[in-house]
Amino acid sequence: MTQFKKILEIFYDNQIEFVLIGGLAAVIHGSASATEDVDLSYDRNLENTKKIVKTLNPYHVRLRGAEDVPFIFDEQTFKHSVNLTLMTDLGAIDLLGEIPGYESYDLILADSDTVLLYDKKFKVLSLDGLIKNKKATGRNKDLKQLDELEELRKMQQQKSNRSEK
Amino acid sequence: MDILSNYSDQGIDLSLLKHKLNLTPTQRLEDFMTFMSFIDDLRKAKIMNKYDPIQKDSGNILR
Repeated sequence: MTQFKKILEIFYDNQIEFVLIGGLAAVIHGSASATEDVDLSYDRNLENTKKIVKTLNPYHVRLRGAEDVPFIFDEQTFKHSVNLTLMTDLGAIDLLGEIPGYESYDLILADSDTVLLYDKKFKVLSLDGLIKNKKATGRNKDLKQLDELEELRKMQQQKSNRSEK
Repeated sequence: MDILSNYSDQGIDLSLLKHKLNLTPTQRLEDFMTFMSFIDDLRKAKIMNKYDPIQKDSGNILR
């Protein structure tokens, strides 16, 4: 099983610039959907990619779905690939430099919420951001989850309206 | 959590979402990891087979 908490912790502890997106971000917002990987949008600057390499390399990074293919995970990897679908000893991690619906990491960051997890502050793509991303992706599995995310947004709005009264 | 679930027109379990919204983000993550661990145990025991709710790219929503 993917070690969700551990992956978030090592990224946090190594001060990597990232925004949690995808299924796990939806879970943080209250989704009841399941996911088996951790999707992270990351800042593509050299310093940050060096930190990612240093953080993940002890966990035997492989290309997910092609794990027999020889693969060297270093700063060069990021020069050739923007989005990486990886398998590690901690489980499946997707490192996404670009995601549908957003033109840059800064825009993703601007659309993120600061969320307290285990007393640490993480950047998590907002519910509106997740909906925007799912709509732009347009894959069947994403569109299916849209109903749930939109229902969550409606319920959150009702909750905040009640607390304002 | 409500014992009787109510569902949206799209088949979303609203009671479950209400329950999740009453948790803190950390509790939601813990809840999810407990569930995933349970699924993992069932897989190891080879109970899930074709009824595995998290089939690759299925996008199935667990309720």
